[in-house]
Amino acid sequence: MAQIEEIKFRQTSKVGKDLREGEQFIRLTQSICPDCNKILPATIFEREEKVFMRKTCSEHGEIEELYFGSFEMYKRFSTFWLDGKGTLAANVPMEKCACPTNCGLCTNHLSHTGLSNIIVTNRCDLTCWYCFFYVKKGLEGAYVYEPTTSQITAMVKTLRAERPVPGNSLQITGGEPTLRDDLADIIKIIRAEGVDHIQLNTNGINLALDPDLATRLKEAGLSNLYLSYDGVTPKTNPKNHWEVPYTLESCRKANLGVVFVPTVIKSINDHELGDILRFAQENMDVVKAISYQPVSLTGRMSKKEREKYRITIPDCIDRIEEQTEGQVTRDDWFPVPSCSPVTHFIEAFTKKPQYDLSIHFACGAGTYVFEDTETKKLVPMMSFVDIPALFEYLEEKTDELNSGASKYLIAAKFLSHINSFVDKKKQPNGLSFAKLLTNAILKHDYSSVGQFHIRSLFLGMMHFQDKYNQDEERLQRCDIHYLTPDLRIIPFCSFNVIPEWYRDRIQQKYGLPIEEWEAKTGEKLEQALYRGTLRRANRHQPASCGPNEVRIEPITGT
Amino acid sequence: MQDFTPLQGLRRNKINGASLSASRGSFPYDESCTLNVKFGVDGGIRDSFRHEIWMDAHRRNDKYFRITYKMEIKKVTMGLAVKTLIKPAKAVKKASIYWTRNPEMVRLFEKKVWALIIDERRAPHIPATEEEARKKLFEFEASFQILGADVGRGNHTLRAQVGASWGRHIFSEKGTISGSSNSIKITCT
Ligand code: SF4
Ligand code: SF4
Repeated sequence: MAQIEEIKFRQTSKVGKDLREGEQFIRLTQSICPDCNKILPATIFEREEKVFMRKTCSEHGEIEELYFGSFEMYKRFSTFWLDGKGTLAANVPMEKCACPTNCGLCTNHLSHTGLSNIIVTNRCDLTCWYCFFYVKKGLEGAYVYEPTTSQITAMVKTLRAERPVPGNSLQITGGEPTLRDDLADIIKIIRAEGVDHIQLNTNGINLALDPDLATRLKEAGLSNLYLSYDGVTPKTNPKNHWEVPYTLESCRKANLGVVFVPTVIKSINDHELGDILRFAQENMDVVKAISYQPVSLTGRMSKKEREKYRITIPDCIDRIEEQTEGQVTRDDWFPVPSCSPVTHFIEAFTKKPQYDLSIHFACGAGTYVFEDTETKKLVPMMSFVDIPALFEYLEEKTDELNSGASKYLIAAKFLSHINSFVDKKKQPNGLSFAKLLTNAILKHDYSSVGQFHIRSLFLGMMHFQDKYNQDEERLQRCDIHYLTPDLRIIPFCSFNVIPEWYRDRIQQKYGLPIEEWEAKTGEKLEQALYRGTLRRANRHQPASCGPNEVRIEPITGT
Repeated sequence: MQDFTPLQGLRRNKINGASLSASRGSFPYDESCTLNVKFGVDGGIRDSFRHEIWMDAHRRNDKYFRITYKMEIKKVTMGLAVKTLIKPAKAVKKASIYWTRNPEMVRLFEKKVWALIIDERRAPHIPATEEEARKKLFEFEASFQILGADVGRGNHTLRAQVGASWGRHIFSEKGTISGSSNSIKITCT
């Protein structure tokens, strides 16, 4: 046996040594300078039970940013850190990768595409004060970007060519995608390429105005809406407060599920997270999930301003616990990669690579809640399923399968054990979690998972990055990817965090100057603007979005 | 996970340094005494847990290692461990082999892989050295409290039976090893 060569790191690091009194080292990573995009070493550390990132640019000085609002939750989440299998069909070979300057995906990327995004237009029918994603007149170099259907087909083929796991989930995004007259055709094209799950990222206004649109899109193959919904009052949600009830009615008629997507900004709408949940619960027949998105701050912002608006996943989780009077507690949440024990068990059982949600533990979290039919209270899954014990059990069985155990023997053990993880007395009426999991895991029958959704809400959270808190360790594991006409697959947090390298460049390359687009289509850009019909009809406030205080990365694009 | 490639010339796996100790040699019947079990895993599996292998394991999508520790404390009569005092207990430690963006590592290696250790209390540790990683993963310690009523009045000889097991990986076949600690004498008055 060769002598073990000792490898040390960290102690020699200058970066790790810049800790100050009261700070505890966690790890080192790489980030970028918010001013010049230079790649910088960054220290992740704990102070007063919170997690921060600190980095120093030789030209632009030190930047310190809140990274994760609870050290205790950071530690718990980090135990689920498990790298994914990446993609074998990388578009950018390793030798050309200088992460994150040449995304594509490259050979170094650690997650295959979990959810892909195609921007079908950058036009919008609203002019929200905080969004500088939509195309507007008067700006130098403004382009209308609308890929053709043949470009879209090629992009989807690129997604389907991913190996070992072909991409199977796609979000149509914008601007406002419903401004495209051929949206139903686009959905059909994507379906025809074999994508099973298609969601539409929208402000919902056109679906409110045209009650049959939801039905037409559903018939074309749309799976659900990803509906921007920032709060329950016109103040917190000037975008579509008056229109959302009409949108929900259209979706109800079309039997089209809705995911609410609130962008959460501290001091603006963080007091309404519980109310958003209650509103979703009232509409549980059509609203199937909420995807809370702590704000991504962009543009040059002072530290004071950032502290005013910055909110992270644990902070949102705590607000939800407070605002639901403890119905959904902080312990009910798990990081996204906690799905791995289930995925890996199925992989070992079937010997086939499975869809793996292998993002970084600090990127996202989720939980399931069920409505108690009698009390109408929300019952989180954790309160009747011993999830940590179930995960342990699945990990153990995965090891046994990988070590050559008979899958029939393991299936028999699984069936005899599964009920021991469920407290049947606390389980909501009409739900058999054990049966559902057995069907999904052993029979690969996911139809009952749909039934699961009927009485439940999935609560998700994703904290998109910005230049202040950007962490290359998170980026390299990103599984939310953009498909672009140059047939690249670009991680969301490269595409939007460094738009000058990705988003803007691609849209300029494949878009048309506004005048040219207007001449070609015979339309005027402003023709599509929403005039507030539903608000006027109800004597509501005129359609406009509030004053400019904070610039927020238009993560939903609507 | 890809197929197992046997590593040549690995040392035989064994339990190392299994020891049992008591917080006190004699204790009153209505009080308690703490028993401490300590042991480690030594041999090829421990030697394989090193950076070079982590790199290969990561490349071949074998990124997660679990080791299960088992222990049981028995009363010894006539030199034989016969009666169970502490029922078999189980604890799991894990290692997640991950690609780090630690700038120190970026400078040192072409592919930047490190190990995160998750201990039996589900606490995460990023070790500073490979040796620290091996210590955190392959050394185990647990404490148990016993009451006078658990053992009864009189002199007792105790011994711990311990074991460890792990699954198959690209760098190792599955393994199960076991061993015994030293015997200790305690008196309950
Ligand atoms: S973020 Fe991923 S795709 Fe982009 S350069 Fe880094 S490893 Fe490659
Ligand atoms: S989109 Fe951003 S926040 Fe989400 S997984 Fe990717 S890197 Fe993480």
